[in-house]
Amino acid sequence: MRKNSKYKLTLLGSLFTLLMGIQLVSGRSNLSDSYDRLFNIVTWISIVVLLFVSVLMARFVLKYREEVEGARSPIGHTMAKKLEAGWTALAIFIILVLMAVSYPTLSDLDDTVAAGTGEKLIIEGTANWEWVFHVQNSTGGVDVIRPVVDSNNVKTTTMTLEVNKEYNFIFWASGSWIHSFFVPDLNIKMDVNPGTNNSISLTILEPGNYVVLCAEFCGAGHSQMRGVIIVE
Amino acid sequence: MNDGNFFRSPKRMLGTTNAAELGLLYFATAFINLLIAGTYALLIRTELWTPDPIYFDTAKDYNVAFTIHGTGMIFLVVVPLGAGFGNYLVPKMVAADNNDMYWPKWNNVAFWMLPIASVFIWFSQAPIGWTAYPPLSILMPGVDMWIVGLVFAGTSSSIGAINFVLTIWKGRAPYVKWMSMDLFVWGTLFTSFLVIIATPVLTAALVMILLDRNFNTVFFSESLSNPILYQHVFWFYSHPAVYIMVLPAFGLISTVIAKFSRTQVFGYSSMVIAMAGIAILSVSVWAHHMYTTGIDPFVRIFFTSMTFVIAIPSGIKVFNWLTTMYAGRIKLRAPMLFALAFIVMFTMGGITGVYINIIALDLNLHDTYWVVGHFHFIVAAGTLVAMFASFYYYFPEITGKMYDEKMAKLHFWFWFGGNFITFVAFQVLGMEGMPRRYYTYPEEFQLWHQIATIGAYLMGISIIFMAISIHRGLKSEKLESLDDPFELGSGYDYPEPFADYIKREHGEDLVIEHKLSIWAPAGAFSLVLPFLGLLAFTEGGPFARGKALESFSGSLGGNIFIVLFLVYLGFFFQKESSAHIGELNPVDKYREGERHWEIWVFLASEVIFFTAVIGVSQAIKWNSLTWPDTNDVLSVPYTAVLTFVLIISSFTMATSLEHVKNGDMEKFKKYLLFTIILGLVFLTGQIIEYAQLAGEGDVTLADNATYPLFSSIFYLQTGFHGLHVLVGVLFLGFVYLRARKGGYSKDNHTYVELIGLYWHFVDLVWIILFTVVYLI
Repeated sequence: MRKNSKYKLTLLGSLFTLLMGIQLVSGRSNLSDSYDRLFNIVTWISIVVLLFVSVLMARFVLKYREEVEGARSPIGHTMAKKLEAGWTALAIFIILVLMAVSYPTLSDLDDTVAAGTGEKLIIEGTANWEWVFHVQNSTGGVDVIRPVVDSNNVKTTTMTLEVNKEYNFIFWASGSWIHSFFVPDLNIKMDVNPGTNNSISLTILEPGNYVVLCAEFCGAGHSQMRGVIIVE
Repeated sequence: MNDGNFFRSPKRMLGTTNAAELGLLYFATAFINLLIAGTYALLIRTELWTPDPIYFDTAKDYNVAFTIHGTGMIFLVVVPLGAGFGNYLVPKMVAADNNDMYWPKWNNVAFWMLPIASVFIWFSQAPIGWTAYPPLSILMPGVDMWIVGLVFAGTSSSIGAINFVLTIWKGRAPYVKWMSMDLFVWGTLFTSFLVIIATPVLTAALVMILLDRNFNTVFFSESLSNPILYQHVFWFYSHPAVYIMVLPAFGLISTVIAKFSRTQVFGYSSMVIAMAGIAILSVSVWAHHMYTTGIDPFVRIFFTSMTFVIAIPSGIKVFNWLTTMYAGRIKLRAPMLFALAFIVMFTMGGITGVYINIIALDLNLHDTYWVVGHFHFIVAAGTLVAMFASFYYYFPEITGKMYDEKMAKLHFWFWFGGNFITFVAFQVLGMEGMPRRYYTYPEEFQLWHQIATIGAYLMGISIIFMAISIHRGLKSEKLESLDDPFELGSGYDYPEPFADYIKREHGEDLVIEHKLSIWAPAGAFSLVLPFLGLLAFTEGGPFARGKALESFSGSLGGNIFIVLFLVYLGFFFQKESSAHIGELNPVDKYREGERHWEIWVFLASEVIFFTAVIGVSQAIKWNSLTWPDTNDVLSVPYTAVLTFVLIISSFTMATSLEHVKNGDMEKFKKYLLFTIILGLVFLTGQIIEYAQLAGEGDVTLADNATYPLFSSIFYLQTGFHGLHVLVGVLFLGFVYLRARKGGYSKDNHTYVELIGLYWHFVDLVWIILFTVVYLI
């Protein structure tokens, strides 16, 4: 008997941990709303699926343990065939729902990202594991902003952008490494490839400080290559 | 079955061709590798306790640690465990006619390549991540050795896979029907197909990195070509690799759940179809690893759709496992606990995978700890857990003794708890934006990193309990009977062994010896020599990037290795060509049909290799702006003559085979010799062509070549074909030597036919290459 209560507890504890873990980063760009909505929907579907599987499993384990006496009535042949088809249909249904919720955001995203509109902003990833930002200043020239290095060799490049203004981020790898421009609070990431330049168009809707990280492993300085976008 | 002396006799360990014993060797090797790769995992987690350095002094050391951990766990632990179970179980489950794998000696070779691969990979100390994306992998130290290790591991699993396909398809006893085989056999069969299809592509990608590093080619050069091309080629292998690992686990877990529920597997046919579906779809989802690289949005739609579809069979399997437990009488021994954990963890892995297939979400989650958590749920908490479940389930059969249940349960709870804590922490970190492969991190991530580290130590401790459980089990008394060690009402349920069947049906005693072969492991080890030579030729030894060609004459060590290899080959030929052949395998007379298709299975992997090489070359060509007119830079008429020579050699080969079939041995030998001479003429012609091209300066691998990209793909394609011609000529020479000693006859010429097919294949490849390289 003790064995089983332990089992139940583990399951409950696991689910609790999972639910506690899910805290969304609040959306702050023109992409964030659809991101948050989608993340929520998928999370609820996932919780339902996980609960379904775990509860069914726990129930079978409790009900059909060898210690539990009583007759078992196995699934009959016809029922088994129906159930097999039913499981297949259920799996297909779940996937269809996921496709239905995810496809619309796909085209939103591509429209926004591929627009190519907004003020040009060159994001350079260098061979020395630094972000260098090329920002247009008020006089029409371009400011080249280089990083500040702290005692732990963390290199932070800071630029200031305007709120509610559309920017066209153009990514350029000036060295041999592939980097990836990642702003967690904006839910966006784009690879910075040597040889080809990706770009995204983005409008930031809320003032604040946004941390920039490198998300594509680029060697020794990968984790110390950081930036801050101050939005005013 | 194990008499206990096996691990005390180095000679037997080295030379055994018995699949069950090789299975044990796979387990032992994988366990040692698990300890090493696991230690790296703990070092990584220790380092990440705080953002400041704790164990690793530099980021580079840390980068080495996660590279070695990832590569090791995938190629040296989980894949070999699948092969280990395959070796141990498949011949029994299909009642193989020789009670062994189809090619016992090759099986030995495949195993011994694994320890070799392990040593190369552990010592490589490459800091590139297991994905080895260029340009990083082209510029970092240690990668040559790492690639050599992976090529050995890949070749090992390819040989193993061909062997599994042959064993299941041809070695299977006639009374073992397809739809009554254990699901593990199906899992191994599909995995083997995937290995045969995908591994040559990985080999091609790695070899191109090796060439870029050492031979001045520019396949993935950022200025002349496109490094992203590598990612396509790499993931074409490495996504199926996930299924290569998990399909055998699916089969194993189905058996454990049904056994410990005392029911039958629910939905057997849908399980088989689901596995087939997964295997087929798995080669069409690779670019879902590349949503953030800036690939065409339309391409992304294709891959996101395919990836959704592949989730369907996985879902069906989960539901079927659950239903298998329905109305059972479930016994919660350690194997069943692990199996139940597998279902939950695999589901967790599945649903976290859905997020990263949704492109809008992936743009945030890609390359963060979310992905790390996702694949650890699938591989460490899923596949490896299935292996643990089966290891405990088959432990009594393997050793004749029972493992220690209490310790095994402790192993389970610590492992399960550790998995859950660590990998859920990973998901949370990923959600909050913590990128993977970070030596240090912004402080706000520290709490969840520490939680993950605690979980990792629980997993580490669990392995100690596993070791104690095994140790106590081995010290315990032998079980009286192995019919039903878990008191489930049914035992391991293998079909009747083939020898018993023959005895019953034909009244004949089929004596099956598992011979020792010292030449098989020697062959595996001899292959190390040319690779050591290659490594020695790289500037500054295996730990530095260099130009192999320039130091060719300068490296004494490298030349010694090559000479040693040639000496070995000489001995091998001498020995094998004078060996008495024509003695039949004891089961040969019961084997039906032609043996051609042994070579066809092998040629399938060759076809994939050349398809990959030619495909990548064509992709490079389409994307290149400066492409020469082949008539200007190559001598097309000259090569047309060489092509003609090779086509003629196919005719002489066919004629030679015709004569041996008619019993005309003199003409057989004469035409065989013609074929060899024509092959040599072709090779000489090619060498002369290379020398001329080097003199002209347009198509060379030198720094100042006019067309570096064209040269790279030219030498890649023709060079690899040339190597195949060389191997073909060597084998034909071998056949010729044997023929002169009267090794073949009218009734015994299968080997000639197999080599003949290989030779025709090589000629056919050349006709394709001549068209795509020279004419178009």
